[in-house]
Amino acid sequence: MVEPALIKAAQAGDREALVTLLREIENQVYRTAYYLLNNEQDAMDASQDALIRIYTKIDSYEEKAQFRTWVQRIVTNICIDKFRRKKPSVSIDEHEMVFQAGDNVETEVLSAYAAEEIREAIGKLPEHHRTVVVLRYLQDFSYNEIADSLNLPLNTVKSYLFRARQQLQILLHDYQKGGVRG
Amino acid sequence: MNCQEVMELMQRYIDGDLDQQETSLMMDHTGQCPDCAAMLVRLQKLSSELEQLPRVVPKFSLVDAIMPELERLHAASDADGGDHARESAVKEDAPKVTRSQRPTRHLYGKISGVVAAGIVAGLLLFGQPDKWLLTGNSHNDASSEQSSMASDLDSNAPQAANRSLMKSEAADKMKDEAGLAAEEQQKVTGLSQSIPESPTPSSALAGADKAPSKLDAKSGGSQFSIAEQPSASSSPAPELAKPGITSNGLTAIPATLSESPDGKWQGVAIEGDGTFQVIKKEDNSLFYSSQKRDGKIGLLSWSDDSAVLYFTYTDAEGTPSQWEFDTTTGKETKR
Repeated sequence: MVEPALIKAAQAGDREALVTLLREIENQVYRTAYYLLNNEQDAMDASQDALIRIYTKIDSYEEKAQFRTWVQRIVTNICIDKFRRKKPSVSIDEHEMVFQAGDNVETEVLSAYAAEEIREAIGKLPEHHRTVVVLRYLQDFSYNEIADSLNLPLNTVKSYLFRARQQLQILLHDYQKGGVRG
Repeated sequence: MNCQEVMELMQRYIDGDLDQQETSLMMDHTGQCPDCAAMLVRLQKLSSELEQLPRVVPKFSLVDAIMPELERLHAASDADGGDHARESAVKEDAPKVTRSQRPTRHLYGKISGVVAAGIVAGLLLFGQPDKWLLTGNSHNDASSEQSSMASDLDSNAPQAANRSLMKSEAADKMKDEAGLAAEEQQKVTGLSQSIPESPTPSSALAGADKAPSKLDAKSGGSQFSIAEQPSASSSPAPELAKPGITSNGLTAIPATLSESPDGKWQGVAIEGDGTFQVIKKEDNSLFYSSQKRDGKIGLLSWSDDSAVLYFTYTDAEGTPSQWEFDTTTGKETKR
């Protein structure tokens, strides 16, 4: 968690504090971008854009909001813009990883889904569902924090999250029953 | 309670959102409904797997990667703030230099070639900006920026080098901001124009001495601010700002260089422009910049005692004459 004192110093014009603050949040910013965009290079670009925006907009942060939800709002907005502009595509690498996942169907079904499979399934979700899942599981946000970050009503957040989990469950369930290994 | 309602309870249960009563309602149902019980198991499994997704981290520090951009934004906001910002920038000069060096130090090795090309290109521009900067606006912006940069080089020097590595789209943005910044600073300082003509290195240029020794000799103050020009003005001479064309770019520039025997001076003639400059190698400050002549200047050479730079001026009719520039008097005379 970022110290409030550090945020205050950064807002007061202490540039050293602002850079320190950016260093503290760069991993959490990147993590969201990575799982939203499903691509390392895009995630790098989006996170850098987000950090620059945070650097220039630090004055507009108000204490009544949580700093981390404010940060996540910025990064998710940038990512949503990005994947609206660009049609999602699954790279060859990702396919290979899926095929390498294993050939013993029985043990595979019983074992946990590979992280790659889950990531791919998240990538198939509609953008808002995807964003809600990422904030819930990669940022450990509560319903309220997600609602603040995305500027959505609480009930909408819940319905997105519940539907997203149902879809993921179906995607992964189908996948395990047959899918590429069938 | 139907399965649909229980589904919502199960979802909230996973998020730890159920109270005691709701939990027992759900449990009662799943105890009797195998479908919902199976669904609950699947959802719990899914949720715990989502929780265990790898906490990926970037391959390299993103803040380090954007530091040049942050430096630029910082400089721009200083200038925008006018008097007040400028005062605080002056106060912060010393720490600012240290800060800006830290993340970019490792870049100097990689960019020294680019910087060198920038210096030569910059010298040409310094002499005759309007020759390169074809549009009226960018001429004004760039030339005033050049001089204001010189007066503010403590914060700008390291950054100028980094900028030449920046993507071209950033250069466009920079054009606007730099223009604003330069206008602002010109109003504020009032001395910006006098610096390039100054016969001795101005006090602002002396600040370059404070730069860490890791900077090689060529990275002194005025050169950085000059080299800045191509990227700041973007369109007129974009190729000068790009890394990668270093060697080709250099050979294409019609300049003649001559270093004095003692290594203290460097004469640079811009043949096509009929101008020449004398650079003090010690801190790479611009010592002298000649008036523009119709015709060409070339054949630079130094006297054995390194005090006098000889050059040949060929006028518009093609008639050559021999000239000399005395570094002790700072005057050029016909021989």
